[in-house]
Amino acid sequence: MIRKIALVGNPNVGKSTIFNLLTGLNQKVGNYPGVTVDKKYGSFKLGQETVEVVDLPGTYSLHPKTEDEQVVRNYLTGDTTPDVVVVIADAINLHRNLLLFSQVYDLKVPVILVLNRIDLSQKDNENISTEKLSSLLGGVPVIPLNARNGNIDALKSAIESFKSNDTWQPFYQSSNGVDYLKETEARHQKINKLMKFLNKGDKKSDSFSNKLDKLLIHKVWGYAIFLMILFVIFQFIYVFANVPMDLIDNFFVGSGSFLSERLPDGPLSSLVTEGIVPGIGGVVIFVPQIAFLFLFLTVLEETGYMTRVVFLMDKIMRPFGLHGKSVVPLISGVACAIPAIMSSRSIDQPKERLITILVTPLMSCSARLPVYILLIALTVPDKLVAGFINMQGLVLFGMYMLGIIAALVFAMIFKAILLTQSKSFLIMEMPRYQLPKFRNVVFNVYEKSKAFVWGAGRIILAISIILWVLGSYGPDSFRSSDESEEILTQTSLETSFIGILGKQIEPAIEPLGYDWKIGISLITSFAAREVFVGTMATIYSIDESDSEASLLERMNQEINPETGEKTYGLATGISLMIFYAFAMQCMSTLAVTKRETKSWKWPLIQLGYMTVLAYVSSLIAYQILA
Amino acid sequence: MSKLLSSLSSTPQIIAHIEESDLKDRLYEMGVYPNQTIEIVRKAPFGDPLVVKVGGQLIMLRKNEADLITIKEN
Repeated sequence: MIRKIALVGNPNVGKSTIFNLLTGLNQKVGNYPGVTVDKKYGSFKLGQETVEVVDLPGTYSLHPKTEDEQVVRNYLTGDTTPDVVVVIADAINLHRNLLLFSQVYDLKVPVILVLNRIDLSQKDNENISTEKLSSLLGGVPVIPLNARNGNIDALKSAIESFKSNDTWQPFYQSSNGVDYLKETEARHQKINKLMKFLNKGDKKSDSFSNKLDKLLIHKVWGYAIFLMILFVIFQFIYVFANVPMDLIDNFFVGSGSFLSERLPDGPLSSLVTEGIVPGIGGVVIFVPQIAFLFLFLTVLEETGYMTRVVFLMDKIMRPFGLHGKSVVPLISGVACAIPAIMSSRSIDQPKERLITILVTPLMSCSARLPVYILLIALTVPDKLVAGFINMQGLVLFGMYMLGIIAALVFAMIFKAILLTQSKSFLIMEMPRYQLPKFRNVVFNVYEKSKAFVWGAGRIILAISIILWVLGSYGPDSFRSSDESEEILTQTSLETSFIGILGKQIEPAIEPLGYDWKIGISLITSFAAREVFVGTMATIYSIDESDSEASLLERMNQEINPETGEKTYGLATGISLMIFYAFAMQCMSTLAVTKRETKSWKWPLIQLGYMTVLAYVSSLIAYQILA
Repeated sequence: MSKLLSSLSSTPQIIAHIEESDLKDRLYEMGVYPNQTIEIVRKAPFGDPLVVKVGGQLIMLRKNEADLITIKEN
C-alpha cells in the first residue's frame, strides 16, 4: 500500500504543476531543520486511501553542493523514506534528466519515472518508446505525461498499482574511491547508449524559440523591448484597473450611507459606517491593481521570458554587487517584498543573495501602490504629456524608477561595505518559450490576491477599528459625555487620543510638508504601508459630516489653515510618496528578512538605513518643491 | 593544444578539457564534459554572458564559466 510519495526532479520540469494537480489546494509549507529550504507537502485521495506527497526542491543531482541538493539527498537516504519516489523528467531534455534519475535509482529506493512535456517531445519528432525505456531501466514504470493539459490520471494509477521490483541492479556500479567527475561521465555515457536504443526520430531543433531569442535578447532590441514591456504594464495597470476600482469605491460609499440610514444612531452605527465599512473598502479597492500586476508577472514567468531577462541583465547587475538572478526578486518586489525575498534563494552566492535581500524592499511593492494612487489622483494633474502620455501614469512610472535606482545605489554601497567574499557564477538552463497556461495564471493570481486580502487585509481592518476608537474618543470625551454626536468635528479629532499623538510628532515632520493627520498615518503605517489609506479613510470619515463624498474628494477639500492653500499640494504629495517609497514600513518584511538571514542584525540594518533615507529624501524633495 | 571556447565563433566544437574549478561538478552534471559537441549560440553585449548549445539543450554561462572550457583544435 502506497501512503507516502516524494517528487524529485530538475528545476523547471513542471514538478510544481504536477504537485498542484495532485494536491489541489490541499498543501502546506514547512521547514527542514537547520536550512532555509521550504518543505512543501500535501495529500490526495487514491481510492479509499490518503496519500501524502512531499515536493522536494528542484536539483540537477544528489551530489551535495547546495542546501537544496543536501535536503533531497538527506530526505531520500533518511529514516522516513517514502514508499515511492516519483522522478519527474523533462521529455525534451531526457538525457540530462536521466542523470538525476540514475542517481536516485542507485539509492535502491522504489521509483517511478515520469516523462513530462511528452507532447513537446513528440512535436520535435522524438518518439521515445516508454516501454523500451522501462525495460532498459530494469522494469521501472515509465509514465508519459503532459501535465499542462491538467490530466495526471496515468500517474495516479501508476502509483496505485505500484509493485516494488525485486530484481534491482545498479545503474552505475560504483567502486570505492572513484571520483564524482569520473562517475558522472560514466553515467552520461551509459545514458548515451541507452538513448540510442530508444528509436528516436531525427530531432528537430526548436526554431521558434531561436527566432524569438534573436529579437528578445538582441543587443539593442532586447533591452528596448524589456523597457517597453515594463512601461506598458504600468500604463495598463493604471488605466484599466480604474473601472473596477470606481465600482468598488461606489459600492462601499453606498453601503456606508445605506447602513447609517438604517442602523440606530449611536457608537455601534458609527463603528460600522465609519470604522469597519471604510476599512474593508480600503483593502478591497486595490485588488484589481494587485491582480493585474500578478497577472503580468505570472505570464512573464510562465512564458520563459524571465530567464531571458536574467541573460539581458546579468552583466549590468554585476557592478552593483548583484546577480542576473537578482532581477527576479527585484521585479517580484514590485508585487510584494515577502515572496521576493524568499525567491532570492535561487541565488547561490551568499554575498549577492544578502545584498539582494537588503535592497529588495526598496522596490515599490503593491502595498505602496494604494498610497501612490491616492496621492497621485490628489496632487498630480490628469493631463496628457507630449500629446499621448498620461501624466499621472508617468509619475507612477517615475515612482517605480525611483525605487529601482535607490535599490541599485544601495546595493553598490553594501557591496563596498560588506566584507564577505564569495565567488559568483551563472550556469542556467534556457527554457523553451511556451504559451502561458490559463489555469496556472488564474491559480497564481487568485492565490496572491487572496494572500493580500487575508494577510494584509486583517491587519488593515484591525488597525481601522483601533483607529476609529482612538480617533473618536479622547481625554475630553470622558468629561463631556452628555454632548451629542456633534462633538465629532475637526476640533474634536484634534483633541482625540490620536490627534494628540499626531500633534506630538508634528514638529519632526513639518519640514517634510506634513500635518498631524499625515503624522497619524505615518505612525499607523509602521505595521504595513497600505494602512495609510485605511487611516486616511477613518480620519476623514470621522472628520466630515457628509458621508456621501469619497475619501478623495474629502482630502482634496482640505485646506491648510496657515497658508490657505490645499494641504495636499504637489510638494507635499511628492514628499509623502518619496517617504513611502523608501521607508521600511512592513513588519512582515522584517520578519522574513530575519528568517532568511537567520539573524536580527540584517532586519535592523534594513530598518535603520531605509528610515534615514526616507526622512532625508522627503525633506530635500519638499524643501525644493515648496 | 587547445583553445578557449569563448574566443571562437559560432561553429560546433569538441570539448577538450574542463579546467579545475568549484564549478566543474556542476558543468559535468549539466552535460558539459570532454568530447561533447558544444556551440556558441548567442552572446550578450561584451560577450558576457553567453548561451551555448550542448547535448541538445541551451545553457546560459558567464564568460568566466565559459573560459573553463577548452576545445580541441581541428
